[in-house]
Amino acid sequence: MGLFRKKRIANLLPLPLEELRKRTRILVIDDDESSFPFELLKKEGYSIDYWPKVENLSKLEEGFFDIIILDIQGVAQNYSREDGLGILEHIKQRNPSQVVVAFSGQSFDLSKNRFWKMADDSLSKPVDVTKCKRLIDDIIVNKITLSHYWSLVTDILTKEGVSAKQIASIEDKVTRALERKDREAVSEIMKSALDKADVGVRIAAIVIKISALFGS
Amino acid sequence: MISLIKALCPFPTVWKDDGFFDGYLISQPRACKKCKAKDCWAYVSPPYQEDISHYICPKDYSLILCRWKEGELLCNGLLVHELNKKCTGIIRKQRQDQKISISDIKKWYEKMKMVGPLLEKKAETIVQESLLGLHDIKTAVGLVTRNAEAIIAAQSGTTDDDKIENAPPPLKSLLKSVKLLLSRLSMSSIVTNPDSVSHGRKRNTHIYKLFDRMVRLFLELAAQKNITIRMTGNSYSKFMCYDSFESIPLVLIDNAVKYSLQGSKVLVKVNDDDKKTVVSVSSYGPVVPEKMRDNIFKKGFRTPGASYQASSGSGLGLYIADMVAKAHGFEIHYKCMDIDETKGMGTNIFCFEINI
Repeated sequence: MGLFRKKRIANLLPLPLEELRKRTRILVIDDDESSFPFELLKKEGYSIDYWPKVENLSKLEEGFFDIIILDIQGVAQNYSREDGLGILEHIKQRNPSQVVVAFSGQSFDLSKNRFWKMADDSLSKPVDVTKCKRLIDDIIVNKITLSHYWSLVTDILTKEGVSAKQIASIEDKVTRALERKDREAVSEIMKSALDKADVGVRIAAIVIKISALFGS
Repeated sequence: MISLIKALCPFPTVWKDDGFFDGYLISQPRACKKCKAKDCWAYVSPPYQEDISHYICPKDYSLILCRWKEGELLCNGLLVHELNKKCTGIIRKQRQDQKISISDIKKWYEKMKMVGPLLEKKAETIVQESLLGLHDIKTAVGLVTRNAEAIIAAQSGTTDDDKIENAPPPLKSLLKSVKLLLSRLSMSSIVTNPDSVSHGRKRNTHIYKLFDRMVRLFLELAAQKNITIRMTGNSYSKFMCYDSFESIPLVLIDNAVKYSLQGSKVLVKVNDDDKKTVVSVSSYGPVVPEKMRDNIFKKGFRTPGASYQASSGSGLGLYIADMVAKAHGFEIHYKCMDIDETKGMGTNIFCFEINI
């Protein structure tokens, strides 16, 4: 009987936190480089990129980064009149599963509350390295997990009318591919399971994350 | 706000605790000044149907209660000629100086209704302007933090805690001061933006460790006043809370140190009790007089004892702590014991319980 039992993503062994820190791609967008403890976090094994301004919007939309830590002021005036808030809104519209952390010293400003509420988490400047580590590790443990990403995929598939039985079958195939550490197979399974292009685009970003984090 | 309306009132007014006042157009009539009862408020009773309500006192003067969202004002000693039919004959003629029309009151009331929002807007602009300066301070503190962290990182040791432990005492003090500064700055936003209490995600937080960490930050400050802080408890519980929760230990321990008598002890207890974590911070110093206890969590409130003991307080700490506690579903309580009535001193205890 065990041979025919469908495999579940939740049963895959999670990677150790140290490994996840390395694999989780973090981007900090802030015009003031000194506001974030880059060097110390890199020494601790975190993989962090830094942009003083929004350099490549499509990279933000496609889910290239697992965590985007975004300042509200002076980072995207060329893209949006609302600066960082406009970018956050745009990312969340295009790719709701993208984790964005609001990072600003303007927590006192009532008019910016929309920024804090829309984000997945927040860091109020000034920050110390302990607080940053605590926040990033918390996101890694709670959101950069196979179960979390798969729940996002399941939500989209269910809304598109895919039956629970079909979803279980897709999950079984994806899990087997992940066990084989076969990234390409994961993408192929998802492509063949979905014939609607727009749904494919929404799921692709999540599947890329699953593959990148756990597929090799 | 109501004090401003009082100053701008053209009609005579009577205040519950503060007696009679002349208006800038109409003064108090002699009869009201001589009135022994001075109980105008006794004739004003809810439910109030309108924003402006008319009543008549036993001496047949009109009383007009005006209500705004900011508070209420009682005009007395008037003769509202359309509504006051009790005052007749020769007396009505004698009271010509006090005579007004209800439309006069209404016009003035509407003008005053506009004052509140205008003042609020002005106050908000002033606060926001001063907070822009705070943003620059935050940037500078960020830079200081980066440098302090870099110095600590260069110390020997494998973990952060080891490195701090191995650092020379002045460096440890510097790091503690920076951390205290960071905590105080993050608390400051709550005053102007109460919503910031619930910014971010709730995280599972070890309550004992959080209080212990804060106690360590205050040890030096306390030692300067010859005050000792002791931390006890059996709690291992964690509680889902926002980052703002840190304001509670910060305020309670800061207040305990600030308002303690020199040479006294501050005791911080965090204990697990069945399905609750019980926290208390006790210290010896001026107690809050009983009639003022309802106000201790109000914005800007300070007792005379607090002002005497520490002139630097702003009366915002407990207001913030109370707001943060309520956002997490519990309340902070104050009690005092072992009171020395002659000196107004005793043991002050701030405590709360969290369901875990």
